[in-house]
Amino acid sequence: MRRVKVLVTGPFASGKTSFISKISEIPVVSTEKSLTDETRVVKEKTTVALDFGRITIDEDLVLYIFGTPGQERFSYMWDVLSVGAYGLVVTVDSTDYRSIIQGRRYLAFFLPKLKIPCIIAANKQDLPNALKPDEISTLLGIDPSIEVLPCTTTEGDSVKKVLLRLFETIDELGIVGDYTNEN
Amino acid sequence: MELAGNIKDFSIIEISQFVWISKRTGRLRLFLESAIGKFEGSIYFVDGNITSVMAHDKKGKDAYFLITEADSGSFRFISDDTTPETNIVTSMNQLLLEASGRTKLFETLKREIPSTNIVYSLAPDFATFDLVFDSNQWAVIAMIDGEKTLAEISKFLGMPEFDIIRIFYSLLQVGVIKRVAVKQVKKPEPSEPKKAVGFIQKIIDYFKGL
Repeated sequence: MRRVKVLVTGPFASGKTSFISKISEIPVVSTEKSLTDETRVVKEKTTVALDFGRITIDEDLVLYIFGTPGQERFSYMWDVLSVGAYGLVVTVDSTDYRSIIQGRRYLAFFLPKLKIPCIIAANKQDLPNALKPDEISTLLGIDPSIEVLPCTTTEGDSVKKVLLRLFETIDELGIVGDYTNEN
Repeated sequence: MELAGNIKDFSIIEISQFVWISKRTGRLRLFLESAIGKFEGSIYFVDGNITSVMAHDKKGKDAYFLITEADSGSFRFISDDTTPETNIVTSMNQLLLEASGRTKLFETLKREIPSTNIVYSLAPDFATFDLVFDSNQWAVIAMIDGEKTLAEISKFLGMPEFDIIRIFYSLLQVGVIKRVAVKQVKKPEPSEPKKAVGFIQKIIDYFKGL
């Protein structure tokens, strides 16, 4: 059985858990905790360790999707979760400048370390005040080779398109590193 | 009413005039591109008057001119955004007049230098010229090698497109440089797909079939 791992990261409340929930065939194993601080006005619960989703491709191949905690105080998990990932999805809230600017920190942390293909999922594109992908690309200050895809993590088709593009990119660039995970 | 769009449809000067006339307070957020590459900018208005401008690494009037001379990009007005420290003290009339004047001059210069992809070299008898150049002109002259485009020199020196074109124009007028070629901007060629990885293709097929 080959397990292929994808990492979903991004700022607090940018849609990581809903991204994984929408595509996973199993109920997402989510280590969420009720918020007690001022961030509660943004959302009720936050991921403290990881989110885990699974997609069975065939009897010999399974895709694991790991979501990192969004709040930096739980960032001790980032290193652990990133080991062996084939690709990275960074979610940002397209309606929130702060979320996009914070996205830079996640890119700065993961990209130099992992050197794996990456897609930016510009979430909440269904909302009227969402910034466009090219605006988000500029705000993130990323190389144009990193694609910013419009996304609505509450819609399965939208999440599917992001993952499809991520794997097409992995196929185009070739697998970086030796992450074969077979047993 | 939301004020957002592309600067190809409305120039920054036109938008500034609109905000001025309508006496609005807020921030005009810009995502622009010019010879120096992609950059962001913000123009802050208080009751229609521009009080603060920031763009790329510039502030004040320089930033406003950099914005008004961008080739392409988009804008969005955010009402009642926090206004930072004032760095524009010029009246709106004067600022718009100066910006319009520069824009007109820019158009004239661009007739002579229509593209920033042009490559220039120094005239063979450059050393014999008895001319006095300022520091910016010297900085540009030092970069002219018959290979770098105007855009590449602009980016390297961090000099706005307007300034660099004006300097090239002045050097052309006195005959110290000559046009060599127009470099075609190559799009990066897609890298050759490395080996086809069966299980990655399986995942791609899976998502395509969903």
